[in-house]
Amino acid sequence: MSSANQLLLEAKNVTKYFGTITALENVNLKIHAGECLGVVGDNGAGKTTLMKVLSGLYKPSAGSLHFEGKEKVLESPRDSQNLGLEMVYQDLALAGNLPIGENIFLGREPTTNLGLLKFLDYKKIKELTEAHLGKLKINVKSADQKVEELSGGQRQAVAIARSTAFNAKVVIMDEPTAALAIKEVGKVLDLINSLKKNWRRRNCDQS
Amino acid sequence: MDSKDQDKDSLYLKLIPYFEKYGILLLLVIMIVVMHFLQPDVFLSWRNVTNVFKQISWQSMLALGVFMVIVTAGIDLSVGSIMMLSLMILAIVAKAGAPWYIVVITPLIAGFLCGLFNGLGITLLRMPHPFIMTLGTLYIFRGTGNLISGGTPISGFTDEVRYLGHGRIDLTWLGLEKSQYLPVSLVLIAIVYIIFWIFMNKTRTGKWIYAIGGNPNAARASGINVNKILVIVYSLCGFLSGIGALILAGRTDSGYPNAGLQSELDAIAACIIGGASFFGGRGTVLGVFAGVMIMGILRNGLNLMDVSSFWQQVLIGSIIVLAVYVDVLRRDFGTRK
Repeated sequence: MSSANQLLLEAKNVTKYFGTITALENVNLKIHAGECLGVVGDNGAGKTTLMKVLSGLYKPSAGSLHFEGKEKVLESPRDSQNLGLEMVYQDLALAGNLPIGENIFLGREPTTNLGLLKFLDYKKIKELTEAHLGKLKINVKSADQKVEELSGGQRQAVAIARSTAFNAKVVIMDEPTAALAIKEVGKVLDLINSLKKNWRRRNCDQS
Repeated sequence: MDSKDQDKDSLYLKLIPYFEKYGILLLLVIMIVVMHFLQPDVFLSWRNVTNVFKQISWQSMLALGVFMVIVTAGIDLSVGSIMMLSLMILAIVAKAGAPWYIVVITPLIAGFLCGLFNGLGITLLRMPHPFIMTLGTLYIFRGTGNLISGGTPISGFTDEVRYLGHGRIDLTWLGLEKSQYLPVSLVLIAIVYIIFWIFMNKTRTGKWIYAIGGNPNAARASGINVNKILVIVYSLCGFLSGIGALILAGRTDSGYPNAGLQSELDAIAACIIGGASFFGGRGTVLGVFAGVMIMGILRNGLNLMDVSSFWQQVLIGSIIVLAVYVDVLRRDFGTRK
């Protein structure tokens, strides 16, 4: 059996209310391995809300999420990350005051443990970051550069690099080229294309 | 010629990050040199230097706590009241005749619980800003302190209780005179600051504190439990205020109703002078130490020169504005490449 047909993620009757507003109503979605799916819709159609439900940032008001056939309740983005689902947020969700490497590993830093205290392994973070950026052919001065010093395109590249640094099965990108200059859009699309060759599944939200 | 200019340029650019990191220390050194020339006999004398450290001892604890809170883009206005309440609880427990090891632990626990109360209030009650929660507890904690003590001072502690704030480490074995002792509070400041430097710079929790200040949404999207980290930060801030209470108990030998009045503002000022950003995510433990020292040296130096305390207020206020303006200028130089 080809793994390309394997059902990875399924949303069943997902509904999301914000107060009196119905953002999503009975959304059904199936994502198979090796598939590239785009979600298209008007402003306010609920694309981003759907993505945030899939990544565990929002809890659905009704409906369920199934991952590789099993129903999963996502309490936080950590849960979806553990299932191999990564998200690139529209606002990029990067901490500008931290270097590139620490952003990529934020929340999942390699550590040396000493009792309750977890000490960061800065050397490993730097090595892994440089190797990963090199693999994706992302050019930055250094992995120690702060994210706030980067251009919009470079930031987008860092966000994408983060989503692919942990052997993700599904990568969700929310408007990966919004707010970028045309030249940078080209670079990001190249990056996505190179990912497509290496990675099994991607799901872009672009209106 | 051109390449020389470029070299100069790149050297200048290379220096910027160092200036960002250590610029405040430069200001501190300049102040020390100026004070030394103004008061050559007194200022750098053993007695006066240890005096400065004794004076800043408890403020430095409050400032360190407030610093961590400011890194998360929050604020804690209640540290002075936490210190006062912890001090009053310590005084009451001491008067009740509890053994010294119990008395010493009570302000630490009380401070921690007050901080925990702040943290839980901010996160569970979903306060729109920590300013509101801690403004409320500023009144609540001080009022509680007055309620349990009747609003009157409680004096007289044993030497063990006073050790951290009042103790002296004899240095005569180094060939120094009897008057050239090391205050225990100075050693305590050094130890606490080193521990928190390691905590903020080397541990994962410390990194997450900076990340929350940089972009709370990024922290949340990275699976960091932001509320849990915030509760930890406010609890630690309260704990440090508790240490401040223990030091103050030693220094003054008394629990008194006006303890730590307005000291939250001093703590915030020290953080700001030390380069911490109100928008969060920026600032260093070393910077806070420099900020506390600058305020301590300024007060001390002006006292030595018999300048009125009203002028001290004006000068400290001016330094706050000046320090932040220098920071703004530095940012300008940093971006004009």
